[in-house]
Amino acid sequence: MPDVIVIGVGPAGANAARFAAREGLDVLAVDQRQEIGAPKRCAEGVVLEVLKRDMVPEDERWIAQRIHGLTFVAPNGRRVSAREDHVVGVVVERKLFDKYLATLAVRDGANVQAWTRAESVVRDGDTTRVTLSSAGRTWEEEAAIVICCGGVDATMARSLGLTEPVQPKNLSSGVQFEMAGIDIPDPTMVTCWTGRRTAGGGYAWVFPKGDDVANVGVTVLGSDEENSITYLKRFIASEPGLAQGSVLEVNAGTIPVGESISHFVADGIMVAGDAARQVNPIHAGGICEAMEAGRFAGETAAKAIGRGDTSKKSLKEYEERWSKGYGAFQNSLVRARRAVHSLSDEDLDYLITKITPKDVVDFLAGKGFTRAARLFARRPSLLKVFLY
Amino acid sequence: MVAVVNEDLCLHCGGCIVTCPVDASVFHDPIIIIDDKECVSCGACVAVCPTGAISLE
Repeated sequence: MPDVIVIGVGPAGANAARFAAREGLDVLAVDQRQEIGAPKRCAEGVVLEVLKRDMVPEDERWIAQRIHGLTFVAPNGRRVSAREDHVVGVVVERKLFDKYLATLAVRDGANVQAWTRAESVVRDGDTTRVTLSSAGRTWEEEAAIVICCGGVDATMARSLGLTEPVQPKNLSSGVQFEMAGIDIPDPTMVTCWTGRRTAGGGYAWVFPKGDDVANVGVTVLGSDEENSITYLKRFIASEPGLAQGSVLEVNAGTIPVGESISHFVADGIMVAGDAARQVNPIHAGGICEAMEAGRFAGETAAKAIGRGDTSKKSLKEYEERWSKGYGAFQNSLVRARRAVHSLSDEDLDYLITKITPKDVVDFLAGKGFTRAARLFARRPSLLKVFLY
Repeated sequence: MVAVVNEDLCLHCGGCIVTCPVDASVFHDPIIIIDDKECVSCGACVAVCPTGAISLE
């Protein structure tokens, strides 16, 4: 009988499995997909700092492009860039990156099985029973702790009552083409476009994966007027560097951009990653959040099993670590996102003329709110953001 | 009226499953099916669908 069963082997599940196994636990991690990492539903950006913190050695096999900074494009076309001399992030090849994270988990002792689906999870006394199926065979496994990392669908977390359906206003709906044969002025920079016509309440992006290849996408809120593919096609047609490009891949994904779920743990159960809605609500990225949450969950599982107590109370340590490091920040960003969503294109144009590259860096690091408040206070039409 | 999926447009992102308040939308590998007996015609899936593959008919 394994100590821990992890359901779903994306960045959250792979890290949960790895960090539990590193502490000597017997870990089984299953994923219903035939191939871990595919299909991708993601723009593939990862912050370098998180790779270091989570002990993921850089490997050329999954690094598509090293990134030095970010350019914002205002609705009126004005650009502001923040560029560092050093590498700040990487655009990864998710199909290889996720498999690499799973391989690290295996090297640390976890047993990973693709094409194996969790049908149900039931807590029974001191153990948790999971019904698994693969290739027409169904069987039961028991573990002291089950960590649900099943992604945004969160089928198991939902069946356990830990999460519920997400309303369209809190869901970001994204479509992306992986394009080749396009013009990228600087492949070491990620570029994001804002504005009602371009991307409703979301944004459009170019995440380079080489000199002439990039993930080109748009994400809009479920409550926005048109569907995201309409925005994406119009955006590509309007950008001279992109319009002539070829399409290598079509990706679609739904991203929870509201608050995270209220309880990440129950007796013998933990939830991490998109399933727990641990996503940055501003840029809708969740790889880094998932990796960190997975590590916290895996380490907490090891401690809880070490003290022979897998109750909800004992697993709360994971919830507390998340809240301290990310949770409170995420919830303040949700308010910031709602506030930005209420702005007109003219207000966004004004803000982008006023911000400096340093502001962009500070903002992405979750700092500089006082300066932002001062900027906003100077323009009466911006004051309504304080209502959020 | 119930939500109907146009398979030619569906990219299987699962957005309709995430937002459906009554679990009428399920991933039935390789396609997504919306159970017309469960559907309450709320339109949440129509709103979040990235390709406009779902309509209330």
